[in-house]
Order: sequence, then structure tokens, then C-alpha cells
Amino acid sequence: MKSKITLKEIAQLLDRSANQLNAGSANALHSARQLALQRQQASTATWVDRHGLLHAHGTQQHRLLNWLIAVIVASLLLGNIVYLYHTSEHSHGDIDIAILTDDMPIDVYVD
Amino acid sequence: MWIKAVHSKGIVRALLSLALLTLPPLAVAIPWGDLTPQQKEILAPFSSSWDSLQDKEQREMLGIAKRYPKLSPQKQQRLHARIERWSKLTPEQRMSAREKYKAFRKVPAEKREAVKKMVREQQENQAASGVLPAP
Repeated sequence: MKSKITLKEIAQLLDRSANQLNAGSANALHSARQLALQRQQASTATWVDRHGLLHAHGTQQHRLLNWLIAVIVASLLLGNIVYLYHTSEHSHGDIDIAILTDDMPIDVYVD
Repeated sequence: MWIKAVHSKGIVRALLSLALLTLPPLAVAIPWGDLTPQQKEILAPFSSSWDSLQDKEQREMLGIAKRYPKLSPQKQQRLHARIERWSKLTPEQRMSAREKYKAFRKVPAEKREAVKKMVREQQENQAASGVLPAP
């Protein structure tokens, strides 16, 4: 008697058993398989949806919104920088101090 | 992809924070009464015209008052003597003086010294003839 049975032999035994199944059992097994496959597909879709891999339309909208926000924020930042640059350029504190403490009288610059 | 989304959200938040941080302070006029005694002492010639100054000019004058304590005694004395004259100038005259000062600084040092020497001689002549030199 053989002590070990190979995978091929197991498959052959299962096929043989499957062929001996009555129609009712075969149908029940087929239905169970289909149900399991449907559940697997639904679960994958939910996971993918949750992580933003499906619904390309929604993702595009999300991207567009992100870009819009980024552009607004960047414009705001740029505006602030330009304003600060403009203000510092026209801040006369240092020049005023220099004129008021220079060894030349003010009227040299005024007249 | 969701990592990307979280990452981009973080960047947007960081940019927004930076934008808010760099927002320029609101320009609000400061009444003369709100100045400290030290600021009032330095800017005394502006006491009557202070409230009619534009907020930008007020900030500039406050900048002068802020820098005053760090000046040498000689420069403090000069500033004290000249600020009254400065306060009597119109904003346009002050602007013109600044422009001329900036232009004069670009003149080569030798020429600048020659002009200074000429002005000093003029002041000495005025003093000798009894005319008070300009501040």
C-alpha cells in the first residue's frame, strides 16, 4: 500500500467524486461559489473606493479642488511677499535717520 | 494615491499658514495720546500735526523714535536739532530730500567730500557774518 498520495492523485479523486455528485448538490455548490465570488468583488470594490483608486471622476474633481486651493494660497502668499517688499522698499526710517544725523544740514537736501 | 492626497493637503496647509503669517499688519493710525513719554519727547515737534499724518508717516516717525536711543550722543543732538525743521516740511519735500540724499550717496566719495567741505565753509562764513547756520 502506498503511504503517500500526490496532489495529482488528490485532484483526480476530487474530480471523480465531483462527477458522482447528484445534480442538486452540484447546483448548491455552484450557487455557493457564485455568491462567494460576488462577495469578494464587492469587498475589493469597497476597499479600492475607500482608498480613492476608483471613481476617476471624483478623484479628478478632488485634484482640481486641490489645485484651485493651491493656486489661491500661492497667489495670497505672492501678494503678501510683493506687499512686504514694496513696503520695505518704501520704508524711509533708515534714510530719515541718516538725513537727520548727517553732517550735512537738511537744507542741502531740501532746497 | 491617498498618501499623495494627504501629502498635498499638508503642503496646502503649510502654504496657507505661511500666507497667513506673512499677512501685513493692518495699518491703523495711532493717536498722539497713545505714544510713550519717550516717543513724545523725541517727536515733540510733531505733536500738533501728528493726528493729521498718514499712518505710514506715523510709523516712519515711530521708527525714528525707536532708533534714537541707539544713536551716538552727537547724532542724537543733531536729530534733536533737526527734527523740528523736518516736521515743518511737507511730505513731498521730505520725499524729495530722501531722493536727493540717496542720489548724493551714489556720488563718488571724493566729490562728496568736496561738496561737504564747500558746505562747511559756507556755514563758517555765515556764522562769521552773524547768520545762524541751518540745522
